[in-house]
Amino acid sequence: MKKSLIIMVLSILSWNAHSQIGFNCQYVPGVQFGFTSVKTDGWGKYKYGAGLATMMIDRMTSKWYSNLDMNSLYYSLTQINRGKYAKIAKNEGGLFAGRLGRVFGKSDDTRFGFYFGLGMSQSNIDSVAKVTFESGGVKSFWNYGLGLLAYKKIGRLHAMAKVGYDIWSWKKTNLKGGQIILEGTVGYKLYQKYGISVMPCFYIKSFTFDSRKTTGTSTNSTPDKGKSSTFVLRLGLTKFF
Amino acid sequence: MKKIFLSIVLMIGFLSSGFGQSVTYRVTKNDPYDIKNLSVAIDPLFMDINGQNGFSGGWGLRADFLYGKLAQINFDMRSAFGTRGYDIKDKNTRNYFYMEGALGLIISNKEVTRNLPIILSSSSYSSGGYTYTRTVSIRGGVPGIVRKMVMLRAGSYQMTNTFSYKGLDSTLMFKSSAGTFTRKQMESRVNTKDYQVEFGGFASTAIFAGFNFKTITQLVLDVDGYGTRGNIRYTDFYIDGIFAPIVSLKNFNAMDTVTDAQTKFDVKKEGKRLFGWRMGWMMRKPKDQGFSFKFEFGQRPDFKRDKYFKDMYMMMTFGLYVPLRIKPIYDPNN
Repeated sequence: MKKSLIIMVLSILSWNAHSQIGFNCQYVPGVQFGFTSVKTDGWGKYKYGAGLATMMIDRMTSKWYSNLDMNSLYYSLTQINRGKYAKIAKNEGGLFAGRLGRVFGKSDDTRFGFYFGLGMSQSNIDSVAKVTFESGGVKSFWNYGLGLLAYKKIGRLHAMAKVGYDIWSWKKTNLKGGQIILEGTVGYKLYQKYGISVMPCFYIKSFTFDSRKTTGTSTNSTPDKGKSSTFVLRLGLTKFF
Repeated sequence: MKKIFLSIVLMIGFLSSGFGQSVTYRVTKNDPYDIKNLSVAIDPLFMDINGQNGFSGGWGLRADFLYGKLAQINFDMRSAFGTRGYDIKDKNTRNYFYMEGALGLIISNKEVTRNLPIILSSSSYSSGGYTYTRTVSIRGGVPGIVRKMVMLRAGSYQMTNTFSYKGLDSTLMFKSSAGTFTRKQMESRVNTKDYQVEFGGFASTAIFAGFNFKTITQLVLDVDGYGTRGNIRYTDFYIDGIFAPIVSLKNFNAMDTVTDAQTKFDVKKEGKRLFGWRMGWMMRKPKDQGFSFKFEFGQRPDFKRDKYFKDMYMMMTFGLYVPLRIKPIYDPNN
């Protein structure tokens, strides 16, 4: 049993033993600034700021790209004490979502590749009201999609760009939709292998769903249509390979 | 649920059996003294499961500093953003907050050579609803230097938390100039829409002492056909006895509807336990930046409940740490 535990720990610790190019953008903890604006038939226009704290890892190595997004889950956790008094829920991003990609190239500074994304995510596209964890204002959905990415290293500066498309789906609320993903990352090595990175992200979303305002549980009503866009700037500590 | 449990059992079984393999390798590093002796960690999430209110979760800061071969200093702070029963507008409850400092004097510092397990590859696959993991390691392990330290440590902590009054009615009293009342009686004396009589505040200041066992390995190999592999550890195991001179419940302030006056009720509970214990583990890498983990469980000084396990707690936290090299650093070769 002891040997099993040691082997499991060593497996985790030796995960990045081969990496020679790329970076590990660790937004755990990290901060983000920005906003989401929503326009739906039922609720009209409204806007909410980005939740400050993040829980995301965005990692590029010489062969692989991976991403773990738990931003919405982490936001929910940080609001347990305050949720009852919150004016609006700022849930945006993954409950438990991830991406896995393969990158190609043999040079010391450039990579191109693609990724697949899959997970369960959330967005507050259904409410301007005060939202607690018990209410149905925040919409959850499955998301899956694919994208392209490019990486370039210039001295201490590392840059990455991603373009992708995600499809959304959730049967319970008849939610269907998708989002265009535009993400950039600029990392700067400050000391030894460590530094910071900035990740500007732009998400353009369109969807239909049964909103609380238009339907409740009725099957005869017209689904709500909506559009939403999110712009956030994430900052976090980064390890360079 | 049964399938998940079986999968876990099978996975652990396969991990423990493993597959030993004979390979050619070169040792590129075998030095547990080449370390970064200071680490500062920001924990995005901790979870503390305890008998006081059920659970608390939040963020924290941690630091550990190894001062040559003389001492180790530890600091730990945690503040909850989710405490069960806590209401930010209810001044009778308190949020979970914990801060501790410890100093460990190194009483033994030695190195031994052991056969250390080296993982070559690990892969998982699913079949028939079960997940199997195949691990290939170097048969018999590889001899590596293990640095072992034993520390005599002592420190103190301070904590606050929300305290659940539920199930404690027979030993809990609310005292004021108007008399002494049970929690049930309090429910009819105060407006329960404005004041929750289920939860109150708890505070404790304690000192602790015990032993800390530190293990450092830094064995790195270049393995033919696999590349760089290693056995890299920087772990602490500690066991403490705890004594708390201060264990108290917060006064309950509420409008007494009988006397029609804002009243301070002195909350008294029988069965104060001033002694406790705990054991825990901390893990990080000796040099590289990454994520560190801490896990501990035990029994804090507290008020007794009807069952022993209800007085116990378990805390786990993880965070991103930055390691730094600060003098003095002990190296037997220099």
